[in-house]
Amino acid sequence: MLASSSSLADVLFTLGLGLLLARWLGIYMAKVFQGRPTVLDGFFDPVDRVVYGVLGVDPRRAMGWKEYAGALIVSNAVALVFVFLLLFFQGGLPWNAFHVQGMTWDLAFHTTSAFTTNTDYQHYAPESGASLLSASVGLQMLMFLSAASGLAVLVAFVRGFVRKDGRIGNYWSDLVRCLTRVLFPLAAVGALILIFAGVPETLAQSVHHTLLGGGFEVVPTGPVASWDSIEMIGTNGGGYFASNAGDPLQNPTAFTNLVEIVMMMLLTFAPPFLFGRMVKRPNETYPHLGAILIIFVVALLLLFYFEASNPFLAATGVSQNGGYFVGAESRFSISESVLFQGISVYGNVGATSMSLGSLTPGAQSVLLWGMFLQCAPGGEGTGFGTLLINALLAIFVGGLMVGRTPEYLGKKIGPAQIRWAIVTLLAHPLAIFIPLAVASVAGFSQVAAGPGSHAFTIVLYEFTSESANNGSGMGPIGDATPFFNVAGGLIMLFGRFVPMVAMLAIGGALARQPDIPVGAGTLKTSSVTFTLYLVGFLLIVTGLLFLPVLAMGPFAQGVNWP
Amino acid sequence: MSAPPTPRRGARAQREPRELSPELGGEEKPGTGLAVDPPFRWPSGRALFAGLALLILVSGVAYPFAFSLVAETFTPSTATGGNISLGENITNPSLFWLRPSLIDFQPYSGAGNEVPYGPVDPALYNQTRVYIQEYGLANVSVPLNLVSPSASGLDPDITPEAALVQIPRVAHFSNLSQGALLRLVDAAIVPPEAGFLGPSYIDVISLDETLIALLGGNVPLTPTG
Repeated sequence: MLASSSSLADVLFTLGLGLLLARWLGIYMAKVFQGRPTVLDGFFDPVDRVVYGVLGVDPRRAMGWKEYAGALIVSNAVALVFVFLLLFFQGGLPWNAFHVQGMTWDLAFHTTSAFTTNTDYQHYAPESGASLLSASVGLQMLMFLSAASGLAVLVAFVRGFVRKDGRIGNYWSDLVRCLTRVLFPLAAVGALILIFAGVPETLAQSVHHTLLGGGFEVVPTGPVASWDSIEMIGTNGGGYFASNAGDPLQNPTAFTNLVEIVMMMLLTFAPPFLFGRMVKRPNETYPHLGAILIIFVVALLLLFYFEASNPFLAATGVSQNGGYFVGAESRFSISESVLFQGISVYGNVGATSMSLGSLTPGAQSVLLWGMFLQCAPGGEGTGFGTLLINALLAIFVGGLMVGRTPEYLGKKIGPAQIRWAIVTLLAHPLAIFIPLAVASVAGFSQVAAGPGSHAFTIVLYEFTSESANNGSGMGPIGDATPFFNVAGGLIMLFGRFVPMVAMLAIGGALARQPDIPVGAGTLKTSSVTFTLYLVGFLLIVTGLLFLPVLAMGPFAQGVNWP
Repeated sequence: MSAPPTPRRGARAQREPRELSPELGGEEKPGTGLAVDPPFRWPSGRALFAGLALLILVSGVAYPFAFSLVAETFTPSTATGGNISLGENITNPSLFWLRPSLIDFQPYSGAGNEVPYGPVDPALYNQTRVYIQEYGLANVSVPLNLVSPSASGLDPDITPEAALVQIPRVAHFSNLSQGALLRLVDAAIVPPEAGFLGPSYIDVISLDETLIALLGGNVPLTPTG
């Protein structure tokens, strides 16, 4: 299954290191968002005070969920409009050495929505479709903002479990603390490591690359390491180059591959630890972490298995001893490429180091499944928020079945919480199936190449990736058309902000309740039983919603499997 | 609303972290279990626009500028990426060849990552056979690595097996012995970093560079005629 024992050692080392650092980070972040002292306060407290002064906000003003959601949406909207204009008019703006034209309105809308929603789906080729100004001041700025927004929503949601006055925190304080104390320090350390590992970082926009055959070619370059760092840490996933982490300039060695995988794991695996600390019940970390790990590790094993070889090619006589290499790079073993891809898709980062369209049907199904789930571990902040919502539903359903009161961590799960949880649960399939039906019936899906079930899979993957705010794409597909740009932009905004509002609303509803003392009727949630029950609940609910489309897409391709 | 109390800091707060710091979400109001929503306020224009401007300055300008400066100061040889091997079109039979490129090794095509056929598409099967023919390897067991497109279309590397399988051809056209080429390939194998990171692979650009020097230089990558 795995190519060799050295790649097994590599996979285990990478996962172990990622989890260890994520645990440390989660505990640190809990302190940051509880306002407990950390060693960095001496530096960051004055910085934060200056920022609050410039913004003119009172970080101590506690907000109800509606005010929090309002500030979140309006501030994201302002950034969205700014970057839309930037992309639309980039042709006439500076820092544009290659005279990149302005984007069409629909492409600008799609791109802006993609980066505002932490999706980073790219219908444009980064090398030739965005100027350095657009990339830095526009898109990279949104990578920080969207990452911070996702984390802010999660901590506000979690505060609902501990507060009793209907208030879930201050948006500005959460956003600023997330940026200054989490994202900027992490991105800086990540960028430094990548720079010293040989990833380019320059304000030049191209470099003359000496050719073996004589002469030189002009190769696109830029501040790649700093972009790479926030791309991975912020679970953004938009590449500096079209082939993203498959490009030798963006991911030049197996070491940078390891660093990028660990960076993707940091903020995706930290939230369970943050959660346990913030609700002051550290043991509540483990059912969530356990459920995530069970699903994720099984998915990884399946990916390793499915990418070991493609039996469809057996009759050509090729040897697939090193793995199924179509669309993968040679400086990474297949297990390393697959590990990158597994984390990137299950963590809703969306960076790619392989060509996804040529993956085997089994691997494509596994990747789609991760985006259907969205929470194993899911994108930073929102992924764990989705898991918590699923846990609330699971406790509610399970409580009804065994006659326990539906309550979690001393808070009753009432009608308001369930209503919003159902909204979240249904938003995802609706945002995928409606455009998928439109695209299929109207013939838009014919832009995707290949036999019917493959073309269907490509379009299904596109909409799923957009709704899950993932951002990886399964090419080739001529999707820079008004239909795919507008539909995709709307799907991403819907798939981002509907669940976010639901998370804040549930947090707000929880925060209005007094604590319920633990009684005989309380379901014990920090247990192995509950962990397994949560896994089963996730798999059954996701299966009921999504198995039919999986059957029409990758499963139908698999029918031709020799 | 009374003046907000100062945040609790230091050992006491650490020992007794029962409530959220007032700084993060404010003091809890008495009378918990509220039935009404707290008052609502829209964010101020100043917070929105000053916040955006500040974020642009720090994340969009200062961040890439600072690290470009760091890279150009401390790692000048790798700062631009000009040192990184990139695939080139090599068809001279007396040299080692790379994997096929779907973008013809053009770094600006922006078309990386797009293998144009699915996993069970007849096009994949047929194209693989075409590649096997083009590489002149119809009668041997060919490593898939050599006859499959990469993710980037710029992959400068192949697996050691993909180099070994080319030795008979290279020997025939370059008039070097197979044993000499085998030693050349062996010496060109890049081992896993730190013993376990990455596979063993061969950078064809540097292997061919050595080979060209061995052949006395002036060997075109793509001979005409």
